[in-house]
Amino acid sequence: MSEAATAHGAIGYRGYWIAWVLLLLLTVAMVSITNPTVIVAGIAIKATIISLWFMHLKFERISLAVVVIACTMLTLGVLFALLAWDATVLFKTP
Amino acid sequence: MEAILDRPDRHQAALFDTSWQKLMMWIFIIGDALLFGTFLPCYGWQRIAGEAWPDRTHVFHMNFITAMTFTLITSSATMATAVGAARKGDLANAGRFVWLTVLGGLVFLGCQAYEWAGLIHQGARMNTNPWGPAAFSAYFFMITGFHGTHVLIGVIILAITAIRSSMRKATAEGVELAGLYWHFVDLVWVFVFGCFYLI
Repeated sequence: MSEAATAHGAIGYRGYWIAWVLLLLLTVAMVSITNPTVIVAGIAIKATIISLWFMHLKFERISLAVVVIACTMLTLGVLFALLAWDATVLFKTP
Repeated sequence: MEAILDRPDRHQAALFDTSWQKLMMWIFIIGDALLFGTFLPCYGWQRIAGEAWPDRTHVFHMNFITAMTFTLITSSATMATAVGAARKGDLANAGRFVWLTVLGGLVFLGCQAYEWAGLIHQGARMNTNPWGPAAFSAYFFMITGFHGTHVLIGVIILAITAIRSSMRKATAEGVELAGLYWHFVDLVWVFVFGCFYLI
């Protein structure tokens, strides 16, 4: 068993169910809020909890976590930024 | 060469210190994340550039959608517990929690089918809907349909994993890989729920 697996085994079930309660509370909070910025922040926090605890990225080697997070976030960040610019500049200019 | 193959850690990729199976699953997850990652920016583009979007509270039953979200999050927690049990060598308990996860997935799919049927009954189609721009229903059916397909595939994978666990044929890593996929499905729903139903 690798070091990461040993570390993972030490989490116990409690950690998962604490993460579950946090996710439920965040969901309730997000449903009752209308501010898009706060909702986006809520999405980011929920995604972090799921990927770090449920998907065990927190307990994997840092190189794996960096590759996974950097690949997805950089690609999606560029895509979001370019499309948002395209939509706002090309379609909202009188 | 034989000496290398005989090494107990030959299946591990040195850089990531994980098995090749898990590494492949992560690469698949990154690829799949980018697939959904192209849908959501396009959806956002349409929201910014297109006609006024319908008021979500007039179209969706938010309490119902929130209950669906609760179900999926709970199924993720039961799956994580199953992985923990499998890691401890308790395959019988792992199998039970995987079955609970399957149940959560089936409830979610049933709710989604009910929601789709309700919207279709009100006149929503891929190319038209009674609430506003046609793109609204097109994006809705495409994005939630893709996600629902992932849930369905996940339920099938988990059912196979649960059966293998009860036959003592499953491995801890097999349960963990199935779990990784299931958590990814939950992760995607966090974005779909936030972007489509809340903003």
